[in-house]
Amino acid sequence: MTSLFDRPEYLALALPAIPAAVFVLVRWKRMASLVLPALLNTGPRPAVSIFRAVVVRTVCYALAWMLVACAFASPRWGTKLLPVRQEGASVLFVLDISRSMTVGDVAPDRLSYAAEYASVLADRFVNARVGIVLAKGSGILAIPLTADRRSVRDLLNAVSPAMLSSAGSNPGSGLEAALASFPASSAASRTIVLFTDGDETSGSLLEAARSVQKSGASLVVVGIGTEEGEAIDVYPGASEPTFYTTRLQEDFLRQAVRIAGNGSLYVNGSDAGSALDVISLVDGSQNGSRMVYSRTGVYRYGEVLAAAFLLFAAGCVAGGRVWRKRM
Amino acid sequence: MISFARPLFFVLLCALPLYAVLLKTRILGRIEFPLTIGDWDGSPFRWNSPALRFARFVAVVFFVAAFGLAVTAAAGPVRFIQERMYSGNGAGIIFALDVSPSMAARDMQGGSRLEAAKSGIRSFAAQRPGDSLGLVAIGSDAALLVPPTRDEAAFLSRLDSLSIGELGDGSAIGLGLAVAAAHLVDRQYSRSAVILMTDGENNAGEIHPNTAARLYHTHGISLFVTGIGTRGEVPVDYTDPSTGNRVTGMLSSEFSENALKEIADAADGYYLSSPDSASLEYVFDLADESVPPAASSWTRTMEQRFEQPLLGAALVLFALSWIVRRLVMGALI
Repeated sequence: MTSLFDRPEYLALALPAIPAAVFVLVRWKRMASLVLPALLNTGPRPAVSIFRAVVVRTVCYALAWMLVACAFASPRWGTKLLPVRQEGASVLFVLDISRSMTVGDVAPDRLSYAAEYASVLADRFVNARVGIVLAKGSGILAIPLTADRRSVRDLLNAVSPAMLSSAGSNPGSGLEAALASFPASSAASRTIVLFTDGDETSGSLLEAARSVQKSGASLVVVGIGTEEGEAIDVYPGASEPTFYTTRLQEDFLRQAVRIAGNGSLYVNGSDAGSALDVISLVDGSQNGSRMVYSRTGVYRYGEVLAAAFLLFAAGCVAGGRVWRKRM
Repeated sequence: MISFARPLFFVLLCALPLYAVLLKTRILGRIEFPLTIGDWDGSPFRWNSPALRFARFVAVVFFVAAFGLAVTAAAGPVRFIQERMYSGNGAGIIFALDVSPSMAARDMQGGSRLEAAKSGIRSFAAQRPGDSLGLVAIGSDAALLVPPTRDEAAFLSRLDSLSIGELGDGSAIGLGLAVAAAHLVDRQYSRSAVILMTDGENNAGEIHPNTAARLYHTHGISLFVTGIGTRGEVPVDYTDPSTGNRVTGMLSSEFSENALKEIADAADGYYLSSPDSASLEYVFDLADESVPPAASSWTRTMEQRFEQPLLGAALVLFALSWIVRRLVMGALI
């Protein structure tokens, strides 16, 4: 439902129509119970007909209001292909640095493995601009998109969970931070490479994947860890240790990639040759100018407002026409 | 220039006068019925008081305005904006900015030297959307805060958060120049330049400024050096980040311009004195001339849609109209 609207929170504005309609009908009924019996079969219009007209009109107006509120929430459904000219490539690495990334089911540990993997990729993306986002409880841009490989390597060599104080694991916030970090005036293709085990304590990676799809960027998820996983002490300072087995959530990560669309890709970081798949995805866009087609949602203001106007017109006509017919 | 994606919707603007005509000609009728309301010996029933007439007028105006806005929104108002697109890295320009406590001296038209430098950098950055801008801070140590990037928002965000004393009390100018050069020597940029902004002499760090400056000559990196501030007694006001204490007083501002000129000469660069904001602007103008901005690759047409604000206003006016009619006037039907 929320993917149908750019600003689903505005849908709440549709709700006041219900108490308003109830208010009008209750008030009408209270008044009608006092005066309509006197009109029954004597007035120009039977009481039942009047009441029905009021109900129809009130419901139509309430529905029309709801549709205008829906239009305010920026509805869009269906997609169209838009040609987009691109030149060069920009790649943002999103490194999940939550505590689950410190376990050693891949040597030496997941985070060091991911950093080394990212370092190899950065060296291969010769003509691309590369940046780094760190994700823990929240996502922070650590290195903006740059051609300066030295800065990228320096950070990858020093990366650790202590670099961010926010607790938890929220790779989705890393994706959101990455999306916000692509300069609008850049003609380069946009690729986000997420290194994560898929453990999530807050936020929604799938929701962020939808944002990636809308932005036209490509998402590459490099799964770090194993399906067997390894136990981690959840509260290391507590007197009694509480162990939790953290595993690579491959199905979850594949689902995020499916949602992100735009030629997105999932690879298991432990698979031999997985880096080549990532490199070939970005390599295609590093050199020269090209025209690509981006799938984008179609706004439906016109359709929703047309329905609202029809309901409004029905409400206007309902009372009057019925009355004229019965007179 | 605003155009409309679905102008046919404007036909709906005829609906309101049409509705009025249908009511007038009694093709449509209102929901109404005759009813005698009276109270023996009571005051006369005034159903059409001036206040109610005014409230009714207000309700009608709100409603008509809301309907007009909703119809306009349905017509799809849109403005097409031409946006310049840049490919490549453009020129690589790093600002090496002294953040020692003396940069807090308030002798730049009432503002501090650091504020004047930041303001100049911001204006310069706004004119260079296609170039890669970086930031090096110089204190008793030197650090690359932002690598050369075209992400203007990230660059400006870090520039704004830069504060006096962030890297200690000294001025490691040589180290700062070396750090900046190290991130430009890869020749990833169409042109490379460093703009050094300081008010002191090199008094910290392991690298002599002239040694670092020779790197610039070797690697073809342009260097612009500017000495910010005036000589003599100047007021100082800043908060020491290490203690949190506010420091105020007078500073005897003395620095050797010759030392800064020597640095510029060693790099085949430029030295300019900036005793005030106007002179500082000239430094940026000179840099702008010497390192031409990246040319845009092409322009793309972007849509700016206006449905949402119009619908927001329409909803507010519809709600106000309802409130006036139902709650203020107490309309029953």
